[in-house]
Amino acid sequence: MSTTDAATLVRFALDRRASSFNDPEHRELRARLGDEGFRVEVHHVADGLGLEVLYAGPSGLLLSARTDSPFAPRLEDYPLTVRSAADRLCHGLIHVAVGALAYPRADDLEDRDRVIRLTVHDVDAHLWQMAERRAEDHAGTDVPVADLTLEPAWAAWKRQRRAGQTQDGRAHPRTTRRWVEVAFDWLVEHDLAQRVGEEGGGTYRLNRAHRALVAEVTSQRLVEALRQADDRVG
Amino acid sequence: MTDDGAPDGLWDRLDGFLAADEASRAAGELAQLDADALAAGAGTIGLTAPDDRLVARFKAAWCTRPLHALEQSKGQRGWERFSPLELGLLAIDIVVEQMELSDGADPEEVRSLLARAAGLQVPGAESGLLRAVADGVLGALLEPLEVTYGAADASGAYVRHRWTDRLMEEIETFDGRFQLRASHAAVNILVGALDLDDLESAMAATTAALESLIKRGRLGVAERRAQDARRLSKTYAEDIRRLVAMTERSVRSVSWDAELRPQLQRAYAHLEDRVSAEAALAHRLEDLPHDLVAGPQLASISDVVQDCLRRHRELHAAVMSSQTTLLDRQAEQAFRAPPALRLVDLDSDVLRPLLDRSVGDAGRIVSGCFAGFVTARPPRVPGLAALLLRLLQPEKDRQPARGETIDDSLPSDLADEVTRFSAKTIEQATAIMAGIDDAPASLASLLAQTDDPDVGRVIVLLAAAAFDPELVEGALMSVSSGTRLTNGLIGGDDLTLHRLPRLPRRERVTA
Repeated sequence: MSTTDAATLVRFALDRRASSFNDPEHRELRARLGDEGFRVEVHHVADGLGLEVLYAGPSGLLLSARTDSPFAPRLEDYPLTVRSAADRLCHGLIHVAVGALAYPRADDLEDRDRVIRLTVHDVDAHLWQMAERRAEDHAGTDVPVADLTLEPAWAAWKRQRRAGQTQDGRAHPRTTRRWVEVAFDWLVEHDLAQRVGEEGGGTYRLNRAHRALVAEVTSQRLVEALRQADDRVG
Repeated sequence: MTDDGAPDGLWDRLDGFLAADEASRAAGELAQLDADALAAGAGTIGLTAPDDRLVARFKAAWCTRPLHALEQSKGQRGWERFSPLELGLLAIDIVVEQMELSDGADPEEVRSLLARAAGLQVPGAESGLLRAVADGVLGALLEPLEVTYGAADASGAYVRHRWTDRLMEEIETFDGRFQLRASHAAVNILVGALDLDDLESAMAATTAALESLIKRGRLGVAERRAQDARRLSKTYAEDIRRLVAMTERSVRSVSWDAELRPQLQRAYAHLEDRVSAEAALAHRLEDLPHDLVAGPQLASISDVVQDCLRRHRELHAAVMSSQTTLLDRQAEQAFRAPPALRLVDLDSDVLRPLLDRSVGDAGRIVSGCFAGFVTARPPRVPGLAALLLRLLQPEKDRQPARGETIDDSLPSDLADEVTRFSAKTIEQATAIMAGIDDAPASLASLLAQTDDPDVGRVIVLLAAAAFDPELVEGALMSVSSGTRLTNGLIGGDDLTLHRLPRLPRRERVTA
C-alpha cells in the first residue's frame, strides 16, 4: 500500500496540473513525507523511474530526471527548430546564461529566499557582451573555416542574428533575442519562472524551484561534463 | 483594512509623505552627503587612516542612487510631472510598515498603492502611465546596488573594495507567494542608522529618548520618535530573520561556530534588554493619567511600544529556537556522510569556459546536460485526439502579414504535375476523392472506382502529396496502411486517406 502511495505522490509531481493545494489526496500524501519510512519509499520509486527528488515544496515534489530517464526532457521537444550544431549550442548557452546571470556565484545559489528577475534583454546582452569581449581578446587570430565544429563557441554566437524583422515586418524568428524569449517561456512551461512584465523585451521571475534545480542539477552536470571533456583531451 | 485593500492608517501616512516630511529631509541630507563624498574624490574614503564610519556613510549615500537616477531621467521617460524620489521613499515606508518576521509586503498591493500615490502627484494622469511610474519606481528599488570604493587600510595604504547590496528584494515564501522586503540599506534612508551595531544602539537610544520625552510631557515629539522606534525594530527583525535563515542553511556550508554563534548570542542579549526596557515603558505608559488632551497621543505611543514589544518577544523566541535547531542538526549531521555537493560559480566556472570551447565540444556538453535545464515531465506520447489537435495548431510564427492571404490551392510543384491532365480527368478524380470527406478510405478502394488510368494517376498524385502535407485543418492526410497495392498502375504500400476535420469557427468577439 505504501509503495502505491509513494508512486502516486511521484505521479502527482509529474503532472503539472496536480498541485497539492487543490487536491486533498495529494495534500495528504505530501504531509506523510514527515515519516522517514515513506520518504525512503518515495525515493526508491523515483529512483527506479530515473528521477531524483530535489525537494518537497508546498505544492508537491520537485523532480529532476536523469539523462537516461524516459522522463528526461529531450532536445526534440524543445520549442525551436535545431538546424545545426551551432543552433544546438546557442540554445544551450542561453540556458546556461540564465543561470549564470541569476546566480553568478556559489553563494547566490545558497540564498533560497531571494527571487530573481531577469529580462530577455539582460540575458541576450550578457551573452553578446561576453562573446564580443572574447572576440577582442582573440583579435588577429583567424577562426578555422574548414570544419565549423572547430570554431570557438563565442564566434558561433557572434555569427547569429541579434534582432530583426522579416521583410513583411514581423519579428524574425531566428534571432538570439527571440531564442532567449523562447527559453524563458520554456522555463515558464515547466513552472520554473513566471512572466511578470514587458520591460526589457519581457521580464521573468525565477522561482525557488529554478534555483534548486540549477544549484543541485544543472550546474553540477555542466561542471562534470566540462571536467570529462578536459579528461578526454588531457 | 480600508475598502481599497490598503492597511489602515497607510493613507494618512501617505498624505503625510506627500506633504514633504522628515523622510524626504533625510534623503536630502543623504543627497548632500552623496555630493560631499563624491566631491572628496569619487569614492576615496579615509585618506590616511581607516575610518569605518566614513565607509558606512559612503554606503548610505550610495543607497539613494537608484532613486536619484530615476529622478534625473524622468524627463526622458515623460514623467516630468511626477516625483519618483518621493514615491521611492513612500514604497520603502509601505514595505517596512507591512514587514513581519515571516511575511513581507504583497508586490501587487505596493504597486497599486504607488500608482495611486503617483495619481495624487499628477491628477488626471492615465492609469497606464501611473502603473508604468509605479513599476519604474519598484524596478529601481529592486535593482542591485554596486559600487567600488577605496579606503585606507590599517597601514594607511589605499585599498579598493567592492560592495553590493540592494534596497528591496523580492522573496518567495514557503507557500509559493511572492513578497517584498526592504533591506537594512533601505530603512537607513528613512531612519539613518548605519549598521547592525548602530541599529542596536539606535534602538536603545530611541527607547530612552521616548521615556524622557514622555516624562517631560512632550508627547507630540514622543509620538514621532515612537514611529522611528517601530521602523528600527522592523529593520532589526529583518536582520534577525536573515541571521536565522543563514543559521539554518549553515549546517551545510558556513562554519557557524566562528561566524554565526557570536552574532546569535549578541542578538539574544540585545533582545533580552529590549524586551525588559519596553515592558517597563509600556507599564509606565499605562500608569500615566490619560486626560482628554494627552489621552489619544499616549494611546498611540502605547500602541507602538506594544507592537515593538510583541515583535521583540517573537524575535527572541526565534533566535532561541534557532540555536537549538542548529545544535540538533549538527548532531544529526554526525550520523551522515557529508553531502558531496559543492556549489558552483556558474559565471566563471561554466559560462566562460563554455564560450572558449569549440562549437562541437561545447555543443556536446550543453546538449548532454539538456535534461538538467528543466524539471522532469512525462514523455510526450499524445493520444490520437491530442495528436490531431496539436497537428492542427497553427504554427506560432506563421501568421499572415498584412494584405497576405493564405493560398488554399495545391502546392505549386504538385499543381504543375496535376495540370498536365485534362480538366475532365481532374474533375473525375476530385469527385472520387470527395468520398473521403465522409469516411477514411484506402487508396486501393479509390482506384477501384475508376477504369481511366489518367484519373487513377491524378488520385495517386493527390494521395502521395497528402503523405507529407502541410497539416492545416481540412487538409488531406494519408498514412501507410501496411498492405501492398495490387493495382497494376503503381506499386508500393497502400495508403489510408483521411480528411482532417475543419474546426468549428469561433465567433469573433468585437469589443
